[in-house]
Amino acid sequence: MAIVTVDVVCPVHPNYPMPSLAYTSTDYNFHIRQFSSDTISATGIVYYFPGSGAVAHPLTTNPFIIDLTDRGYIVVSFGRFGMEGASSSPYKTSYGNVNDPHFTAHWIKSGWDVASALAFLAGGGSLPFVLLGSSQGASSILAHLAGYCGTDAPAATTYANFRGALSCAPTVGGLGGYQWNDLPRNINSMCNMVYLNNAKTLIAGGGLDDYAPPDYVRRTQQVIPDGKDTYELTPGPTFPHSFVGTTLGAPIVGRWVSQLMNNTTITLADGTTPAIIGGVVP
Amino acid sequence: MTKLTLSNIVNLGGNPVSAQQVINANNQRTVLAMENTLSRNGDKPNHMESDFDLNHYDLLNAARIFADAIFIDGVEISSAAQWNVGSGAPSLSVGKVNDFYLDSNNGDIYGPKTKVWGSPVANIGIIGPVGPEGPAGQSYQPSAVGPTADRPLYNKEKKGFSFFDTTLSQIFFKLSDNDSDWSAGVSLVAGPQGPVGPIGPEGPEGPIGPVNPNSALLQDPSDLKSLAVNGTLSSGGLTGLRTASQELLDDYAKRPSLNTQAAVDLATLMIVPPYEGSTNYIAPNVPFLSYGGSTFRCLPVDLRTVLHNTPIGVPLFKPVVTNGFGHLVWEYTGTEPAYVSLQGSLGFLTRTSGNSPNAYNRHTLRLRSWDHPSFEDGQNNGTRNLSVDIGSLVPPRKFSNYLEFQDRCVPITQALLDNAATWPNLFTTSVNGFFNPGDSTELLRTSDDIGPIDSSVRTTAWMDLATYKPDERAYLFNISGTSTRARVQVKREDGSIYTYDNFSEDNSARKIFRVPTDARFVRIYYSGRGDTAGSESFRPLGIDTSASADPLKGYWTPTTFNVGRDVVFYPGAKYALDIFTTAFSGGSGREWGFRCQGGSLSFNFDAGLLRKTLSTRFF
Repeated sequence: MAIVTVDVVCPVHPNYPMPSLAYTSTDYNFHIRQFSSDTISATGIVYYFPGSGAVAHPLTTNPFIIDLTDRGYIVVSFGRFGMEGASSSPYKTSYGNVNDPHFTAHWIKSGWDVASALAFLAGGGSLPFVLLGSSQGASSILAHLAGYCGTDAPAATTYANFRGALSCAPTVGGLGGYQWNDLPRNINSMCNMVYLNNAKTLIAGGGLDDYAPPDYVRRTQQVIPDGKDTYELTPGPTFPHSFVGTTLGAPIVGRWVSQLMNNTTITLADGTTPAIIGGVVP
Repeated sequence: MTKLTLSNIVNLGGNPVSAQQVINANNQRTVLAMENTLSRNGDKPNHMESDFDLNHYDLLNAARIFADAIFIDGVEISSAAQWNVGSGAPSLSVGKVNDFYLDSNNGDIYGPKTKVWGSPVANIGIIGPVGPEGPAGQSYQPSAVGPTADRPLYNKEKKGFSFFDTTLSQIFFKLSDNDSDWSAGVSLVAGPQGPVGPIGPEGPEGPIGPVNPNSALLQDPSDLKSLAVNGTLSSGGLTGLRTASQELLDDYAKRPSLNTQAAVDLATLMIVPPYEGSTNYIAPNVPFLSYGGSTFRCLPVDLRTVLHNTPIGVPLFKPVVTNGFGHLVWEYTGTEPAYVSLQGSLGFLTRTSGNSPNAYNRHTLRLRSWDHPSFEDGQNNGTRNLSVDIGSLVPPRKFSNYLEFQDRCVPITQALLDNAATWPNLFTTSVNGFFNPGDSTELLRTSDDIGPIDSSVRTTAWMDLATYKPDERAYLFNISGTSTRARVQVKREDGSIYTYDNFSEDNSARKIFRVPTDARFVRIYYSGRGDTAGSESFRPLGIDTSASADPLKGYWTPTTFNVGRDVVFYPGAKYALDIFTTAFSGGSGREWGFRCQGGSLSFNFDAGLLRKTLSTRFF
């Protein structure tokens, strides 16, 4: 089996909020790379949104790409401004970098990244799809599902084939740089998005995460209201921030994606113990 | 008492023998009496065998007096006067006559003592604490400094003259006025380390330390049992989870652990517009928004709930309409009305007009609402005036320069191309060369990291802005072909050159340019390696058009909204902050004409509002 890739230029959503009137969305493009097995018929699509530190799409040798394609999923990797194949970032000397103190505006634009990809690919047609994100990409998913795009309903929830989201270590870089950004505000901001999200969502954090440490994860867990279909999970106490692409993390991520895709019982990292919804003890 | 009694001779002639006997007896008595009389020139001290009574006469010209005891007026002076020191006034038994006494309590001096001490005769005060250390003295300055070879030049200097030998790092002193009478050199290097000093006295007791947070539980940890774990993190609880880098650890450690926090019912909602710092110095888009049948100038804001004693925030409002700078329309998510006091202050720079120096505006900050109860409609559909800024007293002015901002000008449109075509082309020719950010020389670079540049690397010649001044003009640089450089360099009237880095980018130079107001000339590095840029034209835009194309042009004035207003937020109702502007004398507004410099609006509310409507478990 081999993994084949297809590169696509993704236009920015026409409603995308550019940093100022000096920038027009028609001048900018995102970049999408599609990964799939050359032998397995696709049964679902995984839209992958990487972290802010990613400068290129994942390699075909990346464990989570291999795991997901082996499971018969197409992985659509999203490249935001400044990444491989995408337009240069209009935020370089303007509003919207990851250290921005105005988190709300940051997440609004980040949420539009997800909307742009889904709108361009029309939700993947009839195949079921799951949103998968790491770090800032995980936050982008939550912002999108929390309705930060404003007038438009979260694009994902408008598609009948949407199965859920796996948000791995949602946060934003630059934690602790108190000039712009501080951890309590990051938690505060993330809590808002976790609370407003009504979609089925798994939020996962590793025990050795420098950027979304366990205390951070547990605080956001506290705001999951009763009745929300949100799970707080962990791959384990020894997993770092970017665990999605690790050898040990990839099969756990793949299993959770599969459970969302097939609407089966969400389990702990051991793959057998049923997980508990949100913060509610059954 | 008579000391010498002599017998008279009665009959010297008649009885010579008897007379002789009388004379001899008198002589013996005289000798004996003289023996008992003070000697004025004796060869040994007069020896007294009984008291010596001066009978109230003085003893004069005594060289020294040696005595076992001396009494004055009946009181013995047994030794010299002494100082006595004690705490408080002296008792009668203290000291002797002529002694002195110091009361260490207050510095009173008593004495000299007679039979009693009497009242204090003076006060010397109490010795105060040691004063502060004085300023460091000036460092030693030798009379002369020089290499070894120079010292003989000063051989005839006076005693005390000093010479610092920089060759040897030694100081020499003239020991006398004699020629060449120098001391041995004194090195300025540190001496050997001295012996270890004695152990100092024990320090004072320190302040009481912080209470162990684990022993100061203000919230029942059992409340946290309701949180599902869903797997094992690096620690099982909400405390002690410390896996981050040390920097993160430090930041994290500043906040108390969750299970030591008091559960409080006080919360604050903050409404924060994007301000200059948060936007990296570009103007936010404050658009005219059409919503709910109205069109109004809508201020984008960040809405942040602060639950005191915890970083957790839960939205009191959710977004309904947003733009790239924040929420424009927001919906109250509570299930009960929130009666609050909205307070705060927002400071703006607002643009009064593009090109009318006498224009001014009156701005009113309003809270609009939709889907509120009908009784809130009133005569204004529920819109509340929060604050007014009166604009006629502060004359507007232009930005003195643009160096502190990052704003880009608007994109090129056909209308801008048409406008530029009516103005002269300031481009004359290009030069083979380039400059880098920060360069400030006339000479262009002709070699980069790759090597010598080819003919594709080009910079415009200096373009003269004397007629079309940069404080009122933006410029359209139109080119054909490709361009991957857009770096701006400025030459002032005095000939000094600097790179306008804030507007320099490594992308296409086909755009509207802003130039600093102190520029007399400008040149643009527009064609990089492999670029095919051609058909260059660099033209000013009209003054009014420039004011519309450059967000920093025009006249500006400070605007402040001070807010103190009771407000009710109703469940399901939508809200927005509306800036209503009345323009006078040619005033006008633009979406970029509201640059917030800081401030926020906020209100406190009962966090029970959230407890009742959300989870009972996160407090």
